[in-house]
Amino acid sequence: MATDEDFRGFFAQHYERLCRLGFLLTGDPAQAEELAQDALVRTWRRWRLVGKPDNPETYARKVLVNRHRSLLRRALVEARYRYRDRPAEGSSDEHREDAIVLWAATRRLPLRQQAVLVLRYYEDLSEAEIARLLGIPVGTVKTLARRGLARLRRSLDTTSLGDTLSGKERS
Amino acid sequence: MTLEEQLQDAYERAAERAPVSPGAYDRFLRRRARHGRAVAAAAGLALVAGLGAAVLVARQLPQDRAPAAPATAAEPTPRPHQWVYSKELRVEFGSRKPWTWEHWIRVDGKKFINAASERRTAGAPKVRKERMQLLPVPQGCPPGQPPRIRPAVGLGRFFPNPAAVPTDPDGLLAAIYQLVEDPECSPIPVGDTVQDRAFMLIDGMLQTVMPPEVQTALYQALAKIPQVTTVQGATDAAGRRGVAFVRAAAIEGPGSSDWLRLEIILDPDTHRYLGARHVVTRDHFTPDTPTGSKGTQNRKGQVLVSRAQVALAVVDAPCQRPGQTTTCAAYVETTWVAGVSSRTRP
Repeated sequence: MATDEDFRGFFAQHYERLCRLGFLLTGDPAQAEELAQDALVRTWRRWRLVGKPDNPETYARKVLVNRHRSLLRRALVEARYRYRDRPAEGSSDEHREDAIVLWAATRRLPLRQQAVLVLRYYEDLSEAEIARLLGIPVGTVKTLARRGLARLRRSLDTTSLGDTLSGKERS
Repeated sequence: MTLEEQLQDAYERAAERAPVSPGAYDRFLRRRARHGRAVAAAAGLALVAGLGAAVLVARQLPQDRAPAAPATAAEPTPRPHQWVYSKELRVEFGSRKPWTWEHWIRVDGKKFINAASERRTAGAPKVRKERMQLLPVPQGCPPGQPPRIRPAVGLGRFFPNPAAVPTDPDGLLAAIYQLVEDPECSPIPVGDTVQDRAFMLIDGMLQTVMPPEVQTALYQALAKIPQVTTVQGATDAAGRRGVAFVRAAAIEGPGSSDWLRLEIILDPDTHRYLGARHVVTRDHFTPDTPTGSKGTQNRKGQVLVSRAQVALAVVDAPCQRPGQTTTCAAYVETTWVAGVSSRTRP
């Protein structure tokens, strides 16, 4: 069926990207795939029931982010603590890399700040788009982003990255 | 490198480490199969030919919009014992999940089958049969005047002789104004002004089966009602885009046109009904009702209801969906109520 072919193409094109977004939101590869699969099943159902969404990628992303939120709200809050305080992932030789330290630092932010920063700096969404996606006012998005960044800056002040960062900014 | 750039970089690199295991699509297919009910529902919606005697007046899904016009060119008038099938997707304020509402009304208006929610109806529908609730004839109707709310669907519900309905927008609007002129004797029991009632009546008319000329006339008539504005690119509950005709409307009872507006969303090419939204235009508190509820606070901008008509078709049998042959008789739970021959409610 044409719809199936259509969807298969969409799946191939966006599955990986959705997994990555899921990973950035959860910090866990298994959960990331779970979220991506779930979001795609839901997107597919919408597709079959009322037709292809105007922008299927945006649709799937929205499903994923909202699904992540409601799963957290239920049982997976526990998982958040499990993953939040573990040491930064990756092999030990890249352990000191700035990017890894920074990534680990973002994992310690409150969840809403995490979500806003991921959508802003990984998905490159505008503040207005994030507000629409999360169903919150634009002002709240701005506040969450600002606080998230401020908090990152503060937490990095105590690490070596803080020094490199300020050194780089000075030069 | 600013912190923002650092962060972008960090996210990119972290995301690269998100492993994508092989066989993802197969796992997806297995998982999808568990949602089999969705497949069944989709089959019900597949707007295909081969309906036998069933006449399809169905809403085109966005991707097959192109051949819309010729398909509706010569539609026979539905016969009294056929059924009008309608499927609506609704999102209501305060609940996150949309739900689908399917119903069948016999063309003569004497039987009504209500099957709410996708879960129930995708497989064997658990059908709630209800007699067509005939609204009481408004008290204020002059003696001898025929009741304005009649047991029928389609245009017959509003006009005694559907074949004589004007197809020019001015004539049609005049006829509609005449229908709703007297609030005590109008098919729309609510509405603060004549224009308000006409606007809401057209919303109802557009959701019924009608000839394409009348549909086009209604589309043009809407814009002629005072205080109606149009908005391009409005989205219905199913995410389809169309032209919205927007006006204050007393959807929630007398006086509510002060704080509510109705947005009727139509397809600009085919003039078909896509859906509608009920939007709060200013903060409003509805105080306690006699039934003891605590009152409701509505805030400006809330969308109380967003709906989308995703299917409309004339079918031969009750519980039959377009493109399918299954009827109520196939469902074990179904027990038929004897036909209703006259008005059942005082």
